[in-house]
Amino acid sequence: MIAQQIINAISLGGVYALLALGLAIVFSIIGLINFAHGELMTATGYALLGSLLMGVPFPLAVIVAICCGGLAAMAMERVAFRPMRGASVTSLLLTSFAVSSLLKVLFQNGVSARPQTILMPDWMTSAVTIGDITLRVGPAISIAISLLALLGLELFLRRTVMGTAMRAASEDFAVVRLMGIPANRVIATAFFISGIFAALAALLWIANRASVDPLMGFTPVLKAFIAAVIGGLGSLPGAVVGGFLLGVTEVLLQAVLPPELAPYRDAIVLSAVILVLLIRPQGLIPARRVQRS
Amino acid sequence: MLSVSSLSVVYGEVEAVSRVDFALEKGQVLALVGANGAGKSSTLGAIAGLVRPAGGAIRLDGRDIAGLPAEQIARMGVALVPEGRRIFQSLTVAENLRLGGAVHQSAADLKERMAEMLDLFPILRRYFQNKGGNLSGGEQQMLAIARALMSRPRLLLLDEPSLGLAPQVIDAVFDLIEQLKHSGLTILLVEQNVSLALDVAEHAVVLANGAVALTGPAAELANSDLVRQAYLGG
Repeated sequence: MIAQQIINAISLGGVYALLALGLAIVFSIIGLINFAHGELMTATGYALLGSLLMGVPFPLAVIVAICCGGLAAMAMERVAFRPMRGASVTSLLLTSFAVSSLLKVLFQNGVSARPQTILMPDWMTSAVTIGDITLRVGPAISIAISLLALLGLELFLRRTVMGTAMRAASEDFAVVRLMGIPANRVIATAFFISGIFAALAALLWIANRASVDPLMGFTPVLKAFIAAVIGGLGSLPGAVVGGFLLGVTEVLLQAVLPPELAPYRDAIVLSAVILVLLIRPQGLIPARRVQRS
Repeated sequence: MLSVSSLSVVYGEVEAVSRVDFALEKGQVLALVGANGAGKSSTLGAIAGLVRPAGGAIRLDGRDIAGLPAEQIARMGVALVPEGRRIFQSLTVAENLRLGGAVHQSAADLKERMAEMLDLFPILRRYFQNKGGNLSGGEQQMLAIARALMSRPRLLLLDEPSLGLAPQVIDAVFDLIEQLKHSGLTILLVEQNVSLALDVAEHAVVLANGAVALTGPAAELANSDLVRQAYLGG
């Protein structure tokens, strides 16, 4: 029972970490807090649903859905954010709200406002028994996928020129351009990665709920935003730490709070967030930005 | 190689650079001097593509590059060492240099250039895996210059290379500029330390309030009354 709670906690933390990283990677490079990030999750969900309805086998449908998330993020950048390049943080924020609302309405009217059921394969919802502990397979897979994605991103950022350029761009984008590295390519890559991560998070989210609806991205991305702020907005290690911290806190509070206090779980978590930010206003692991007049 | 004609740069209501003309031949060192706010950095910014000119032409080997994106100008062989060095602090020396050489097509090219830079700057070999932010000001300036040279530029733009450095370090930086000049590199140098700039340059342009006040051979300007009174302390 305790083992299962711990696994659930880490699993939820992993999902928040993936989403927070997606937000952080885009923010670190162009200063945009993308509130339409949740709609990338929704788009991934419908891509999975659509593929399955068309009879695409499950593993292939998952790949289609992930690609869809990445491409949707790049399309979002190309259509909505590139024309706003260089605009103030507020204008960018409002643009992302507009994109988010537009996509929600499209999903509501184009597909359905009601949740659509997605049948997950039996093995994903099954449980294994090791000795006298019974563990569900879903959350374990979720942890594995989150960790693999984090590892993959770390390798990309450390070992490739584009990854190095992205780390450099989070410090000083103008100088990266002076090196002859195209700004558009760096930004498109950042969005692509954030889309892939949103897609992975969406699949893990759906695996737990077995349904897709037009508003499914809202809550997790709001939580991921909180996680990114706790960690230090724009800091990638901060996003990961913040994500896991938030997920673990939520699940553990759920487990230990007496029933009469359970409805206050989010209020308690958010109070803790305020406390953290009072002590460390820049977040747990502040992002490094060159101060310039 | 570079000809700037009637260049204007405007920030909001303020005209920072106003119809500036000058030209730079291949292999020459041209100093762009003047007081704070005279429009020197804005001129360099416009040439490198960081600032969009409001008017005029910037020709690189005859082709007008005014208003092109910075990354495209960099790929045409123009490298800017920005004011304040602006090395990537959280990246290692190796990574800073690697990005400087991002325009290279082949791994062999990159490797060769990296080796050349480490020979030219032995200090960078010593701190190869250290974070750029841990280097001293002078070492960061050397790294910034090496990073710009990684792309094998045809034209090197140096913005205030002496700023904030100790006197002995400034000497080392200018020795290096002298060395680069002798290797035949074309250099456009912006510098507040007018006497140092006029020492190393063949030609100079004096900017005042965004416009060209004086122009001519560096040695001649160093002896002109106006320059002596305004910039060399009598």
